[in-house]
Amino acid sequence: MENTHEGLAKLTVPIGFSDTTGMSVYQSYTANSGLNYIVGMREMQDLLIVEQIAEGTACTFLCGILIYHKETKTLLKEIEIDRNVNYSREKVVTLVHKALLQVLSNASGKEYTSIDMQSANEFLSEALDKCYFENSRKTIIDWAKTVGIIKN
Amino acid sequence: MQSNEITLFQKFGLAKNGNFNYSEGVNAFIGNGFTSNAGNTYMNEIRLMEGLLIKEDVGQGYAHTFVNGIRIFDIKTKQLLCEKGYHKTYYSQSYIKSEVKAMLTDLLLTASREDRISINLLDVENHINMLVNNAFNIDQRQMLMQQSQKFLNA
Repeated sequence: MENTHEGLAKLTVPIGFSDTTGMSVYQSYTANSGLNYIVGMREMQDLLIVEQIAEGTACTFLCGILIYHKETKTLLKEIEIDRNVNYSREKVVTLVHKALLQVLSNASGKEYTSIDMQSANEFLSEALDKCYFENSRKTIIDWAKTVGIIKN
Repeated sequence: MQSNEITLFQKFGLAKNGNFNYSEGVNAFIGNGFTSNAGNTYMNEIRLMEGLLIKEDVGQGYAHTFVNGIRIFDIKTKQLLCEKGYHKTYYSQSYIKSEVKAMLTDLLLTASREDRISINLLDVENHINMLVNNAFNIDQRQMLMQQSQKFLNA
């Protein structure tokens, strides 16, 4: 795998937060078309998941996903996305999950290392779920307590 | 809109000096639309319910109006709670209502299961039904004022 630092080098300081996607934004550009292209990032365990997104007035498109190892800044996987794919966190989770399992499987074959793919699958499911949805779940519980659905 | 109410919209990055206007016809705040070369107009509709903000992505074509997406946010924390995308789905208020109820109920049930909090499904459904119905029935201008007062430092 190639070391790619350039992509990550530009993503050092967040410039804002995307409420639409729930992640910190590191780059933003508004095209003449009116679409706002943003690059955001999430941390998951020792990985950095970089999401490339185009936000329109009433639509948000997923443009690309890059997965890096946080410490070494190594690009692990670049996920190409077809045109006009609507963004959702669930979609990103599915794509990242599949990509990481593939990377692990390929690496174990080439390095003659045995990996328990079942355990890897479960670990990734849990880690991605926590990364993308834990805050939403905590907040809905707080909301439910506030409005009286859950009694304290 | 009064300045405090605009502030709540600005908190979500939704308004720059009030580019959302109240529509009595749909009882929602409608954002400035974008008309594509094909002649379709895309816009956001915002509704407030107790503690939550519902953002609908709507596309108006020549003959039909479509819903492209629904996102629900917590007003206090701005946290995105749940989202759903749609393709070639006709817009209707009753459909949006039922989707919002389902999204909130699913999320709350999942979250309570994770946290091992015991809740009664019927109670949850009834309560969410009431809150969502209120969001669509009560004048949204009144709802906006109430929620702004609750969640912003006036």
